Order: sequence, then structure tokens, then C-alpha cells
Amino acid sequence: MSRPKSPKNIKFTKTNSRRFRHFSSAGKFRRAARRNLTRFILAGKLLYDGESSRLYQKLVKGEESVVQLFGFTDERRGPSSIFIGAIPKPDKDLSKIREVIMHEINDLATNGVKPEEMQKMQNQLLNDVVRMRQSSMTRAQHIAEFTLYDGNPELVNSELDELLQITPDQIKAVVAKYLNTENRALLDVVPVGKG
Amino acid sequence: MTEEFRKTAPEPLAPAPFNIGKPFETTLENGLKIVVFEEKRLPLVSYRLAFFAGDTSDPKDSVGLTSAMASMLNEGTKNYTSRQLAEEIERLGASISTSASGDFTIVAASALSLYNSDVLRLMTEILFTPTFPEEELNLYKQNAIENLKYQRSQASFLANEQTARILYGEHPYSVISPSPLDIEKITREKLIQQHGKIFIPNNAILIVVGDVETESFLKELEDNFGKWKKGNVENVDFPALPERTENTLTIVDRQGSAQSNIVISSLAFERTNQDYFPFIVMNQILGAGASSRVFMNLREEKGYTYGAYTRLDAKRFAGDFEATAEVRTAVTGDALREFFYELNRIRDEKVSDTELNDAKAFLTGVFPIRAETQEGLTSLIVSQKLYNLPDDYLQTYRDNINAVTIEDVEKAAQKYIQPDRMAIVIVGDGEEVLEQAKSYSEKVEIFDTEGNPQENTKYMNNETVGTADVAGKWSLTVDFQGQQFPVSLALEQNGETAFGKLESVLGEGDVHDGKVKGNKFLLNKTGSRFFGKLIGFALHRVLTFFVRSTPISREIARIIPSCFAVTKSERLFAIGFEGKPSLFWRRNRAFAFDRVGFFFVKVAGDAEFYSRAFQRVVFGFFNAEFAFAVPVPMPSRVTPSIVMATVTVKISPICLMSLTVCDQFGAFRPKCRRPCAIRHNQRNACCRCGRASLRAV
Repeated sequence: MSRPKSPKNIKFTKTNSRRFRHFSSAGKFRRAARRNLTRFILAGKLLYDGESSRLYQKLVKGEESVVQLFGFTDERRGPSSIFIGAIPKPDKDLSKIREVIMHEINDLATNGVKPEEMQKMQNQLLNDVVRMRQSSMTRAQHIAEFTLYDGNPELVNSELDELLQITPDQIKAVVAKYLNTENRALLDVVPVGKG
Repeated sequence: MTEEFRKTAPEPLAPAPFNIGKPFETTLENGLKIVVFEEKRLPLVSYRLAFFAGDTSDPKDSVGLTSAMASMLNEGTKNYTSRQLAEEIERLGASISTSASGDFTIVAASALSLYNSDVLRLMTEILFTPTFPEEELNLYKQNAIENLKYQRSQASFLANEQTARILYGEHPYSVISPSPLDIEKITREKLIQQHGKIFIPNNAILIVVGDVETESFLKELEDNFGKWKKGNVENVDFPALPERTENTLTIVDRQGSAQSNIVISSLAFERTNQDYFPFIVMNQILGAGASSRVFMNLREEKGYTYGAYTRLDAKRFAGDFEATAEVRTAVTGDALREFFYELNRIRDEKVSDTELNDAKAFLTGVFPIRAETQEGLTSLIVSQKLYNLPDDYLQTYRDNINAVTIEDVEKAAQKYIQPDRMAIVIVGDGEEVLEQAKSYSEKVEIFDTEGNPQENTKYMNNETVGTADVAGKWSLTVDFQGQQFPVSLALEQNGETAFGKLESVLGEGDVHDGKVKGNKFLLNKTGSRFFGKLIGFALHRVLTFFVRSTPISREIARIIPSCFAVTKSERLFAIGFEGKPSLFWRRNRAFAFDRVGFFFVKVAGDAEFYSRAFQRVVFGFFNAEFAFAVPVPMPSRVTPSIVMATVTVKISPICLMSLTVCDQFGAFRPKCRRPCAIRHNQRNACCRCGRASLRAV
């Protein structure tokens, strides 16, 4: 089976009947490449996870151009993807918001991760992993996913160590290779009449 | 060969014991209540500092002030800017959030126990030294106003807004959200004043759950919170709740809406009420879950909605009961009928032993799962303390559920479910909804989405508009059971009558009784020929022009046939269901599962063929002499295809009398398997509407 090609900076514009605009950007990478995936998860945390994340501080606080910011990695057995989305304020220029997002990605790819960001991320990882293991359902789910996707249920015991060993340079490299490119899809959801 | 033991489902195991200890409790000299629950399974700690004052403490002219104050707490303090606070909290891998609900204002924090002292320090920073910076307040106001606009685009918000207004009258619970004007009026001075009024230790409780040593930890709490000065606790004196004497209908008009968001509600009781346990057992049977009555009826049997539920919202000072569903516009009236049928049935008939036992098993079984995580356990303890529930509430919860009897359920239903005094709120196409729902109340109010009252006559009188011109070709998308397929209509028109031809994947058919009235086109009956046989189905009250001059060629999405009907002379069945498409026979039963588009099952001979769980599983009882399996390949998990299967069976005549059609619904009615329905059938009345006659086919 051949891997589907990623779109080359394709912009989709779709209209709907609601009054709100919505902007999404998505990039694609392989879930099977486990090492890349974990580095991507950390890159995502830096970019959009929490109020101290780079994009929240830039777009919600600094530029005040966005009402809500969100992002997630969509992990798949085949090509996985990373999504960044925003609900802009009225009359804000979507292209400028995109520029800010790409600038931050570029900065991460060029200048890498700051030491204080690494410390924050490692504490968050520790907290997240411990909390996620509280319920038997989530433990079972994790073991099942490691078995299904990676063929190794034992990864549940080494996942945290693996994440904590990721270096700033590794995050920088994966962002440079997969995110700081034109290889992404853009989707603008705009009110009817503005498409 | 199936092994013998597999033929019978195993009995459920006895409930696992659930032992939960009691927390340590004390009160500081300043009146702050402290609850510490040592829980050392994991190196985590959770905090809730809760104040017994929430949005209901807003000054009358400052709706939203308490929520704004809570939201602004971590936007800047004496020693930290908003960004520094966010970075400092997240650097610890911790979280600190602040929020207000109607009854309470809560500062919540969680962290690795390693950072316990750091989190306490940051909590006190946020609590005691917020600065409410002007620039952050301006940003909060801008974002809040944008969020209000977004909220107002959501049907569920509009329904809840009207429901609260109607049920609670002048009580502060009647307001679920501030207006943009309220937000504009918020000032830094008002925030400071509200902070001083609400954040007093003698009206608060600090609950700590996690990996702590109580004794040493108390010292730390004393250091952090001991110097906090007492304040005056304001007495609350809320206006009386309105007394309901009749059903009311409130419509929020969203012209052209494909769905109606229905909320049928009434007042219930406050959280500490002694009827709480019988009521939640009753509610579990009626509508709390996916196996409850309203879900099984409106979704599984009728296919009106993706989900239908009932719920109890028992607050500190009052509470309400709601039955809710989002349904296709065309079946708004049908859905109301089924809701009221179930509301009456839970009052008028005793629930069965099975229903009672299932509900109790679910509620008692899920309870320990809710306490499995530290957050879950903390939430349970917080609820117990904030609502002033008994000290042994958590320990006796399952006993209280298990003590509920069938008679208790009946009493609770009869006391609190009053089908003749419900507030019906529907957000949807005003004209369509009014037409279908007006028979449920003589008191009708209509609002626009901004909450402005509208003239009812605007939605009732189409005669002055003139008759729309519908002649021409229509290209429709039919949405049936979540699947869409194209249908084309070629219509001619003679005054208020339309007729013509229909083409679809079901085949071709004639349109012979279309009615055009004002700007509405009603196509009550049409048919499609499939392998030379007629499949009857109805497009009922669904073709509506919203713009008088709309050209006829315009595509209208989501036209939904309300049902596929079967009559004696028509032996074809068109059945939609979801899931992995496979159709197979086992012994005398035909099974069709699951998750895709349409199967067209041709049945030769006479049969009882009924759909239980209409979308999911369709199975019929045949005395078949022929078995046929149709594995259907799926092109994609997300793009279902339309598939067909032809099944020919030889049926014994004994089944002939079982297939019935309800005149009132025009819908295929199987032999009902419920005891009540059998009684109805015996007196030749429909078990759904109770009025229309049933006829055997």
C-alpha cells in the first residue's frame, strides 16, 4: 500500500451559515515512526497547550486577534497529523494569523526550545502521565494502543522515560523537517457571503 | 457446534465492595473549614477552595460580575503578570483554575505532590493579591463578548436561556449568561468590591485530596490561610419561584433550521431533598442513559434523533427536570408526542422489576468508577460538602440507591413529573415548529435568537402571501438515518395541487397529491417503484420555501422522509440502518447489522417483519426455508455506500395477521412487545398515540 501524498499548501475555503470564522492548519507525519511522534507531541505542547504556550501568548494575549486557540495531534497507524486551529475575532486578517503561526513554527525550527520550556514540558509530562494512569480504563486503553499501533504493550512502562529523554535539538529537528514546510493543508470556515 | 454454556448469558457478579474512608475535618479560627482526605495511590494532590456564593450573588445591575471576578483572578497579581502566572503554574506541570457557577465560586488546583508547597503559594497569591489589571480586563471583556455571540449561535444555549427564564422567573437561577451590555459595565472597581464580598474565609471550605500527611500539612495550611480575616456573610433572600399551572410553548425562531432543539422542563427540587434517590432511579429508567425509555423510543425505535435524554439538575436552592432531544424539523411534533407518552407512562404505570434492577445496578455500579481517579473522588467530596449532604453520604450512597422500590419510583414520578404543567421550549424553524407543536399549549411565545419577543401571527398566517410556484425540476438531497442520497422531482402545478414524477435510488415513482399552501409545499404521500413494486413513503411538512421568490430549481438539503410505510399489497421493505453492512440468516431469523446505508430487502410471501432499534439492527421472524447471506464490501469506513440485497423467503401464513399499520402515523407498526401495547392492541388502539385505530394487514 502506498502512502498518500500530502497536499502542498492547499487552501480550502468553505462557507457555512454561521457567523463565526474558523481557521485550521494541518500537517502530516507517520504514526509508525514512533520517535517522531513523541517529539511531535512535545512540539505541539510548546505551541498550543496551555495559557503559557507560544501561540496562546502570541495570538490570544499579544496580538489579541484570536478568541480561541486549539491544537492536537491526530495519531493514526498510517500517516498521522497535527492540527492547529483558531477562532479569530471579527475583522481580523486570517492571513496575519497564519503568518504568526508559521512564524512561531519557524522560530521553533530555527532557534529550538528554551531551557525553561523544556522544564515546563517535563513537569507537565510527568503530571499528565501519572494522572492518565489513575483509571483502569485509560490504562487498558494505553496498553491496547501500544499493542495495536506499536506491537509492544511494554511501551506503557517506558513511555514516560522515552518522553523525558527527548532533547531540545530533537524537537527542533522534527519541527524543521515536518512542520516548517509548505506541505500542509489550510482550511478557512467563513460566514456565508465572505467566502 | 455451539458449546452448551454459551447459550445462556452468565449472571452478573455481585457488586464489588466499595469502601471509602472519612476525611479529616477541622475549622481554622477565621472560620475556614478544612477537609483533608489522604489518598496516597499516586504522587498527586488536588485542591478545591469553594465559596458558598456564586453568580446568584451578582448585584442586580451587574449580571456576570462574579464570573468575571473569578475569571480575572489569575490575570495578574501583586507579584506576577498574567503571563508570568501562566508560566509559573505550567512550569510546575500544575493547573490552577477559577470559576463561578450559580451557587459557588471555586478555585481549583492540582499538581504533583512534589510541588505541593509551590502550588499553595501560587493559590494564595491569586486569592489574596489579585490586581485585576485594566488591560487584562479589557481583553477579558472583548473575548467574553465574542464568546457570547458564539454562544448565541448555539441552539442548546438558546433553549437553556429560555428554559431558565420561564422556570425560575425572578429568581437569579433564571439568568444563565450575562448580556454584552452587562459585560461592558464591568469595571475594575466592581471586581475588587465583589472579590472582597465573596472571598471571606468564614463562607468557604478548602478540600484537599491526595498524597499529603495530614498533620504536617495542616501546619502549612494554617501558615497560608490562618491570617485571612473574617468577613460578613450576606444572607440570601431570593424571590419565590413561579408556580406552574399549565403547559407553555416557547419557540426560538431560527428560520430554515434543519433541526429542532426540544427542552421539556419543570421545576423539581434542591439537592438535599429526600426524594433525590427515588428520583434519580426513576430518571435512570426514564431517560438518563442510552438504554432508558426515551432514548429507546425516540432514537432506537423511531429514528427521530441521535439522542434523547432526561435529567435532573438539583441545585443548592432549587432544581429542575428536563427532557431534551435535537430532532429533525419534520418530526418535531412526533417527538413531542413520544416525549409526552413517556412522561405519562412513567407516572401512570409501575416500572418493571427488570427496569428497576437495571437502573439500580447501573447507578451503584458506576459510583465506584466515579471515585476511581483523584479528580473524581475530589468532586464527590466537594459535592458532599458544598451541598451539605450527610457525613456518611458517600458511604451509604449505594445502600440508598438499592433501597428504592417500584412504589418509590412511582411516587417520585407522580410528584415531580407533571405533563400538564411543562415548559416546552423549542429552538428551530418558527413556522414549522409552531405548526407541529401548537396543540401542546394555548400559551405560545416566540422569540428571535437575540431574545426579542416576536408577533405570533407572523408565524401563523401564510394565506396573505399567495401560492408559491413549485412547478419545475427539483434536485433534493434526502437525509435518511444519517445517509444522504439524491432525489429528483419533476413537478407540475395546478393551483394548490402539485403532481409529477420522482426519481431516486429507490426507483421511480409518481407524485400525485402534493399540496401548495402559501409558501409551503407538503408532499404527504409519494411512492417509488422498485423491481416493479411500490415503496410508499412520505415527505411530510418538509419542503418549505423560506423566501417567497425562491426559484424552484434551488437545491434544498436535508429533506427527510419521515417514514417508509408498508401496506398489505406491497411486499417491499426499505430499511436503513447503520454499521458494518452484513445481512445473514440464522435459523428462522434474518439479521442485518450495522453501520452503513440502505438495504432493500425484498420479501416474497407474507411476513411479520419489524424493526427494533430501527437504525441499528433489523431482524424479522420468518418461517423461512431459504437462507441467504450477503456480505457487503465497504469502500471506506467513512464513506458508506448504498447497497442492496434481495432476499426471497417462503413464509407460513401464520404470520399474516401480525403486521399492522397505524393510520394516525402512517407508519409501519410492528406487533408491539410491551405489555401495555398488547393491551392497547387488544382494544384496537395504537400503543403510541392511544387514539388511532390499528388495522391488521
